[in-house]
Amino acid sequence: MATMVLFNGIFNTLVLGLPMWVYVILVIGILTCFTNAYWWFMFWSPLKPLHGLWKAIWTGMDAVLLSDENMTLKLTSEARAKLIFNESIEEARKNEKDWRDITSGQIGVVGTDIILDFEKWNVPDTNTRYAIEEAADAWNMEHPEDQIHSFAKFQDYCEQKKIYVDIPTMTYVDWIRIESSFPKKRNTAAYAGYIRQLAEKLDKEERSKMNDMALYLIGGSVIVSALFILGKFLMHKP
Amino acid sequence: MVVDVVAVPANQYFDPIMDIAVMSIPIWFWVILLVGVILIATNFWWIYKRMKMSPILGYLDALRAGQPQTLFLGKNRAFLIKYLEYIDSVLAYKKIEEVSKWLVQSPKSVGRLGGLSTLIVRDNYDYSVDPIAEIAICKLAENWNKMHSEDDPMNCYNDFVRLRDNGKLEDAFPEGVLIPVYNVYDPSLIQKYLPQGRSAGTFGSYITQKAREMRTDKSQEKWYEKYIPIGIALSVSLIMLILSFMYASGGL
Repeated sequence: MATMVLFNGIFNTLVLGLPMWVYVILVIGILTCFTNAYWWFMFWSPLKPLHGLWKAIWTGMDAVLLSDENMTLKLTSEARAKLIFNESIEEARKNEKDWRDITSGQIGVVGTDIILDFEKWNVPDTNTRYAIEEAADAWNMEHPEDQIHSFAKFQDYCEQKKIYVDIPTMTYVDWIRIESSFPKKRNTAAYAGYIRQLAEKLDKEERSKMNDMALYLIGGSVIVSALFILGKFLMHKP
Repeated sequence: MVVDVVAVPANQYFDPIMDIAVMSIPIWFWVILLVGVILIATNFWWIYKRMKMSPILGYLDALRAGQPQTLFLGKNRAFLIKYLEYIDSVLAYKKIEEVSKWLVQSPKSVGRLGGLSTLIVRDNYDYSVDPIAEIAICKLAENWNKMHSEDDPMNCYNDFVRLRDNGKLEDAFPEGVLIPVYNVYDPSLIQKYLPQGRSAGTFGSYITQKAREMRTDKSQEKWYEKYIPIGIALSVSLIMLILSFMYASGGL
């Protein structure tokens, strides 16, 4: 085997008893560890509750923002939020003919549904879930041409009274909730305080602009004055 | 086997393994290349990941600031997580140039995602969004129109307000509105029942205009206060320039 001298052996120069290439490897290695640790701890780890989006990007599936009646949202998989039975989305789509393909919207490249599941139908191994599975199964046996695999279709059929199941399928939204989201009249007092704060903010911004200008003015004058004095010394003839 | 015989200077060291040439390049150089490629590749991978996750990065900003995050539902069906400032029941961008603002009227419209308070807003309505209330209004219209589509239909926001005002809706549905317990929320369905001309941009512009008017009144009262720092700076600068010029030209 041949020994090769590269760059006139600069990297073979001993520094503190070790050749320089060892330090180069160490520096790049440490930089690799440091940058990866930075990405992990400052970017990826805090994003944990939203990793479902990355999973959806990676698998090419849609994502779901699943909510309960208290608007506690969770980014989860389509299968978990939509499917009655333990199967894949592809299988369910094939078996349920009128599968709803359009999503509520998009997060980046991922189609995303917002699903409100007040009775936690998505949680497996509960009495509610067993009842849904049983009713859907019975329907599918009787109607192989019109199968139900998604909670959405199951809910529709319950509402249309095609299926009867002994679990709550409808719930009341009270008038107070509707009124507070869609008030008949806009109350100007509700945002009067904000207007005052915004006025203060605008004032502060203008004042800080003025102060910056004053600083630039003094700074500029100091430089010009220094140049005058420097010029006098440079042109001084003994 | 070919062995290069070279005179090794005293301050250099040639390792019997790491300095073996593989394709005319010593092994240590290959190691440097490998580690360098790992450094670049892993960082590119993270940058790619960050780019793909960019629509939701407002979550990180909100998390660092310890503030609520905002789920933004665009009319173009794009959902974004943004970090907006919440002050005095109003949600606004930090930059004044971005004028859109939203009033948080209903506490029920505040949710939770990833441990943070989450407000939902849309670009063409100036209140925070409560999807459950939206579903209820759509369902209400559907139920009402089943009974009154000919004589007194509910087809827009004004119909809704009129029917609310004359108490017909509450008479027909005294307990509230029945909605399904499982809903796939479609943000476009409510468009028909949103009040016209109430976009977040319009509301934000109006509020900013009001704030500017308030600021003008205030600055007219104490106009001199505004110019004191610049006046002092101007005077000091002039004195400094005159003195230095006089000194330089030998007049001092």
